[in-house]
Amino acid sequence: MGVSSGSLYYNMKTFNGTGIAKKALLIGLFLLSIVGESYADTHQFKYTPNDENNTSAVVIANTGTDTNGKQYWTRSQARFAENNVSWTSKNYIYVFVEASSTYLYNQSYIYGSSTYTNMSFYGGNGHDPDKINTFLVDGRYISMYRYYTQSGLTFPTFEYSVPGTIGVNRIYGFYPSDSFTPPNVTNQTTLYNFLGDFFNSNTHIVSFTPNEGDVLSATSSVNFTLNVYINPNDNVNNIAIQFINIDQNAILQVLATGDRTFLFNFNATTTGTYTFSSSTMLEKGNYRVQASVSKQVLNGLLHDPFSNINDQQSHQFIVGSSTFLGKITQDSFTETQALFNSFNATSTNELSKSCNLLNNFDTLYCLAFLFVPSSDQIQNSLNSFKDGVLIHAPWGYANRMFEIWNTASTSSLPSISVSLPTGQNTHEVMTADFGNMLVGGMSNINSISSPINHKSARDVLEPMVKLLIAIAVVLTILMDVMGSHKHNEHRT
Amino acid sequence: MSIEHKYMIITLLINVILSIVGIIFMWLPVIHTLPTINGFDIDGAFVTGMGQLNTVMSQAWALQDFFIGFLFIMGYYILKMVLKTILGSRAPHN
Repeated sequence: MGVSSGSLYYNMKTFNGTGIAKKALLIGLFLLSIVGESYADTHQFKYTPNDENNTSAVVIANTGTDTNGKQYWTRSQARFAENNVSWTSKNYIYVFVEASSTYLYNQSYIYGSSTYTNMSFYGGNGHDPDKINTFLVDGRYISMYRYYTQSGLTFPTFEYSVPGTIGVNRIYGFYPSDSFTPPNVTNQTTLYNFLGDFFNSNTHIVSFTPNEGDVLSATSSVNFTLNVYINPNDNVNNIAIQFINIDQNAILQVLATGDRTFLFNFNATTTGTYTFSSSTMLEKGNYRVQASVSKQVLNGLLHDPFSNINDQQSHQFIVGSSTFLGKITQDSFTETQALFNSFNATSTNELSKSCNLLNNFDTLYCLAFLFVPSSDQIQNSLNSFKDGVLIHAPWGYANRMFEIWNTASTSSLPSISVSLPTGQNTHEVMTADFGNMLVGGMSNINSISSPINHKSARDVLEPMVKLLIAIAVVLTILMDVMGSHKHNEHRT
Repeated sequence: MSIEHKYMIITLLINVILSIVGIIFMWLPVIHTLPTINGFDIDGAFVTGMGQLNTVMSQAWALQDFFIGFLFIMGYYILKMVLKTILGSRAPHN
């Protein structure tokens, strides 16, 4: 196992064995738990937007795409005002720019001021980032211009309007707290991996490999990597990180535990980013690598149902060539996942090639293709059933209720006005606006912060509220169960 | 239509069954909204009520926690009711 700073290598094949290998696993986990804290410290960075004293990466601009048909951007348009994230006086040493453009035929350059010793960027929409955008960096803000240059001209001697749109999706500033080696940001994945995925500052899985649908060579090692982010505001106790590889080459193997290989099984001790990497040779066949980060109760026996820390994801991949049973297992898992809107199966397209009588015909694969519907097909059928049958009376009423229940739209709360006579001909109108009362009240409560650790009222109170509710739920159910016993005995 | 939709046998069977069921019930009226009874717009009331509930839930985090706890308890009672319905007098608790 290799960790990005520091290396804890072991060969995961050892975990498939018994006896000595299992003892080695226990010893390894014990050692891992000892080094866990220092290990985590070297990887953490904290994400706290709008914090003057933060030493972490923040989103400093989110300008969106130029939708007004403007052909170039001015400084005032591209400044960092949107989404209420301000760029403070702190000089960010590293700036990362994520940008996009719909016009390919212009060229541009990157220019960084002396304030920034390093600047990197990612160009989106599948375009070549070297040919779409120009950025000017000046102290506390970044302005983006679109330059059209012709052969022989150099920036910024020529500026010209060109068709198409251009936009900065997000700009990130980063001020590292300790010695820090900037990552080689070459694409969106590496950028998000490094920044801890800004779109989700909750404790979650940032990334892991092999990726979904990867077909890897059987003659070289398979690289397993994991990146998990634990929010600094979360209580780190009992947060478990697991990384498991599942051999799917036998049918229903997914239900068995014998061929599950724990690549990483660790209880977090500090917040921040945890990374893990390992490489090993695998036999040809189908595999599923599963990553999870969750809050656990009862000494790790159960996930905490009241915690929002419960992220579990899996990727399926093939080494060398797939096996039929493995493919069925893999497809079945994918179908099940798709039913719950988790994944989309793409395997039937691959299998369909096996039904070509003139080329690569394979009976088993072809049969699997013919009789195992994909998630898209099942989804289409369900939609047809809904549109053709469920919308009719009388069950259409229940369907409509379900639609209303699922809606995400919000409505303003009612307000009540009372007119009170204050004199013979004068009245004072008193209005109770429940929307404002709720928003204002919750805003006031959430603005209270602890003088010791500066945590908000929600951060402090929510765990207690959840605990009280959990105890109340358990006691209610227990009392009902015990009361039912008593009642039953009394009746007999 | 992609290739998989053309040749999948199971999908074909499912679609045939769905078509038959659809034809059987196609004469029934389509329900887009809940009815209005005696001038009271039930659909509008539910939509507004659900929207207001969403507003409250999005602001008051404590209520969300209470609501989840309430759902757990309701789940317990529903499970108990189902067991009683299925098992009758053989249910563990009466």
